[in-house]
Amino acid sequence: MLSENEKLLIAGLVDEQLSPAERINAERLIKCSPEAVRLLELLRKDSKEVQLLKTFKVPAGLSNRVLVKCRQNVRGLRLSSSADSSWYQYAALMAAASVLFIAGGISYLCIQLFVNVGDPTNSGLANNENKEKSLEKAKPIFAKTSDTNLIQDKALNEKNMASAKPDLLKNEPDRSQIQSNEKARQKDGLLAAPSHEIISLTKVETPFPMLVRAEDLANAAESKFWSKTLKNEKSIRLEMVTKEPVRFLNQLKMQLGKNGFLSFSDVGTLVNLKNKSEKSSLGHLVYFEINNPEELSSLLGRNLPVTKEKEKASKAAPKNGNAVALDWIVISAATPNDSKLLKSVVGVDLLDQKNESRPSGFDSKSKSVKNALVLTYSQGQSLATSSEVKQFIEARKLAVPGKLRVLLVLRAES
Amino acid sequence: MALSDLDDKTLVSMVLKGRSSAFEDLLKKYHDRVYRLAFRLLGNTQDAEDVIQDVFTQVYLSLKSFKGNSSFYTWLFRITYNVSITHRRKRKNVISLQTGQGTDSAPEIALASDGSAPDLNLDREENKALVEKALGMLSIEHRACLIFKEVEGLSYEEIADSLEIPVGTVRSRLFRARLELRDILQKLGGTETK
Repeated sequence: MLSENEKLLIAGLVDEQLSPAERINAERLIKCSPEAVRLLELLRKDSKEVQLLKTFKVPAGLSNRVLVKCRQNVRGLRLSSSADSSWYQYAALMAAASVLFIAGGISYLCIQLFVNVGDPTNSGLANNENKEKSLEKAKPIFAKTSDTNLIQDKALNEKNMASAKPDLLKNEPDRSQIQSNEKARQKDGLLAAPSHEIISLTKVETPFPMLVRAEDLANAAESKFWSKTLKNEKSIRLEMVTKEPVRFLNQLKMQLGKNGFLSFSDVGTLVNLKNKSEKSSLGHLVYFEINNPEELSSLLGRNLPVTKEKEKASKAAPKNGNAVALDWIVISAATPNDSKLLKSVVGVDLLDQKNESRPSGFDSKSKSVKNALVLTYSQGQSLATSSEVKQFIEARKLAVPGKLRVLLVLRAES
Repeated sequence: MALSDLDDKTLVSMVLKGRSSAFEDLLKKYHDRVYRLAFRLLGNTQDAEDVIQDVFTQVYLSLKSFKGNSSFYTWLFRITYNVSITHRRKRKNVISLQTGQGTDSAPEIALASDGSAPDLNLDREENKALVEKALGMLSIEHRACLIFKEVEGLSYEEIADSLEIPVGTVRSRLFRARLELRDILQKLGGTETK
């Protein structure tokens, strides 16, 4: 007759959960006890029978139903507690903003110190102003705005990728907007997806700026996404992040052509595009106006290779002329900084609708004209005198008002 | 890298950072196991569906309390077990008030064909049904132990963690569950299992 411990030992053998010493004891027991052998066989048989229950049909659409239910449940609970936690969220955001600000300041001082030490002719505080000017020139024209930085950093960190910070922040951060956006997202709990997850939760209207993975965009119903996201917008900025902006700009230009746009580029841009020179000092922008947001889907959607299909793209490179993948798109409303940018590069604030003057002989036939400005340029360079830029601006005066203005900025992923 | 390729702890930390699609991934990754577990514990699909909804809501709300000392799925199974117990208790009360009966009836059978020959398949299906029925007649503690071990493939330590009992108790409980199952199967007259 087996004792209780011996039976447990045999059961442990079936489950393969014995220590080496216990295993030796159990095997010894099996060798000398027929009862132990019989128990072992029975337990193994029953174990197999129960294991067959693994094959199991889960009802179709269960995960979606559960998700919907969770959202309903969580929303109610979250809304009731949001008031208590709002001060905490605010404090956390303020702390994060402070850390970023201090880090930026320290970097700036370090760079300044480095420049002063490295250049004996310009040492001393008296020359700081000149240094600032030279640094201003040295920083990328399309340096990320800090609100975009925050979101992108978050997304990149989540992907365990190191996010490269710009050397210097060009613009003052719009903290209040970020905070209010973050608060709005957190308030709605599950219903409010973080900015870059608008694709997976298209029912949610997430406040700007939002960061969308290109691969998500390519898999989503793009036109629905764009119309939902931009239905109330008049002018937007799309910051597209890619490893090779110049080559991507080439692709984009071709894409614009396929979609009936006439691209205007100055000679310098054409040379840069032809040489495909990926200089970090180059700025890249595309400006165009469209009748509705859905048009963006054919321009930026599945027709462009995205990260997910990077391998395919690289394999198809010889045929497609080295297709470049797009990683992220940061969508935001156009800001005064964008206006400044356009003014500095093309001499006119193309996003400004207030001071827009239409010529008296407005031609309704020009409705079909679709123009785009495709520019790549060196730091601080103004292209206002370029005849192509002038042509574009002139042609634009004939365009129908009320279109969605799109400033597309290409940025290299560091 | 797709979100679904990330390990559970990374996904959990992403959810805590506010990335709800990571929660979706967790849900998609485990919903079938949670549903299966709830079904085995409660014995019918409707209750299992109610439970899985409660489980994932609770998971989302209490994710902050997940410290990562144990694996995510044992934590998830613990919640599933607790929610199932609570659900069963509530249901039992309602049913006993309505009909004077409890919920320990034999469970519904939801089996998937594995593409074997029809006659062999039939035998196997019959046997499965029998085991399923016997399993449904075990006490919920014994049932949970057996399911965790045999169906979910958890180790003794993981079962102990999921059920919040010592490993020694898992051992003995599992053994008793097996003996009980054997008795029931013999009573039910399962040919293969005798």
